[in-house]
Amino acid sequence: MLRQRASVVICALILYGVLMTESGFAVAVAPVVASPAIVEPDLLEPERVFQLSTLRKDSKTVELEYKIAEGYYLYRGRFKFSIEPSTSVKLGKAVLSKGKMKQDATFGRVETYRNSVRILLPIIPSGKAVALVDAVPLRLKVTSQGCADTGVCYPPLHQTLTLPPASLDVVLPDGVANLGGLTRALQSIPAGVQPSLIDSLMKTK
Amino acid sequence: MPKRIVIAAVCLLAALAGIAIWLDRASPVAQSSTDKSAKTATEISASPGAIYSAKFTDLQGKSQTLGQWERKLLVVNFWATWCGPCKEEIPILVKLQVKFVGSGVQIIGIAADSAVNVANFNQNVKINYPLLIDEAGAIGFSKRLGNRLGLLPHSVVFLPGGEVIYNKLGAINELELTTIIAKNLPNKR
Repeated sequence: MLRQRASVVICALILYGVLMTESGFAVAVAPVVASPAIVEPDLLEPERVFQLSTLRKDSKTVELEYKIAEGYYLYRGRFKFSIEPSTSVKLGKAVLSKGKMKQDATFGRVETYRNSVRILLPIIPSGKAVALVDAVPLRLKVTSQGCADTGVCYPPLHQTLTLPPASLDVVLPDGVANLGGLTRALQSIPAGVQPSLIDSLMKTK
Repeated sequence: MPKRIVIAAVCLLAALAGIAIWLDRASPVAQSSTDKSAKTATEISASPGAIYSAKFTDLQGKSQTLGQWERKLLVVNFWATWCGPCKEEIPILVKLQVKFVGSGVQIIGIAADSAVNVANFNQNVKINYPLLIDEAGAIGFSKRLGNRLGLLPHSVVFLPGGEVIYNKLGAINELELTTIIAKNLPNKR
């Protein structure tokens, strides 16, 4: 008799537990769907995936290179370039190495790069600032965009490169009046270098 | 003796029912959050209030907030026309919007893209759910939902009221998403 009662009590407790699970009480105690954090595949930071560097720079061109990590690619059509100070210089049409064609549902055949891509950018002085192209550090802003083979794409990556002056042998054209720019150029050069630049300027005049 | 058998049988059935319910509820989220290749998990920083007050522009240029779908089971898909994997999964979302029409389910596409690109894409694909645009801010909003690197595609399912029950980076799995939606239909809750 006692055993039977004990069985009934145990059974009732189990039933109670099941019913409370259905009513949501048990879910509140042990929530199954508690704002799941996003699960990230094994992916690298964009700056590590798409490593940008300057291969060379002279007064007329700058050559860039992207090293692209294995399993990732860049879109040719997604590059953007701009240069500062825009009052002194502008960029010509970029020349890119040949990539691989890929079929895109929306854009048809698109060109992509794996492993690396080289980019040649003509630097065109504007106005009376021809000499300053060589004397003033330039800021090159590059935008790229790529994806991973795992099926995710990175948002556009904006990177800025500071290009050092190509040469200290500055030749001032006749009638140049941008002394403010020249002063900034001189200030941007390490103190120890300035005398040689001034010497160079003096020689050219 | 027969009484004992009846009691034992009822106890056994109750125990089995409990186990079945526990397994049923535990499985969907467990699948989506135990990806073998997963390395890190980032928490959600946006509150339901912030989620529903977030403003976007629609294809007609009108301002829209997610708050208008607060009482729906909301499936938000972050995408862009420059994202190949994003475009590949759009037909699945179109199909799900049809499947769950009238069930209190709303799918929304939030594009990290220009209005022109989205409009051009939509002309070809005919997306049957609202498209919202925020070229500059969509990625930031996606990051607040746990997408640390701002990668696309990113899909999030909100229960009515804003609780996140599914948070997926990369291509959605049609069966998995269908199951999640079907088990959480607002009209059945």
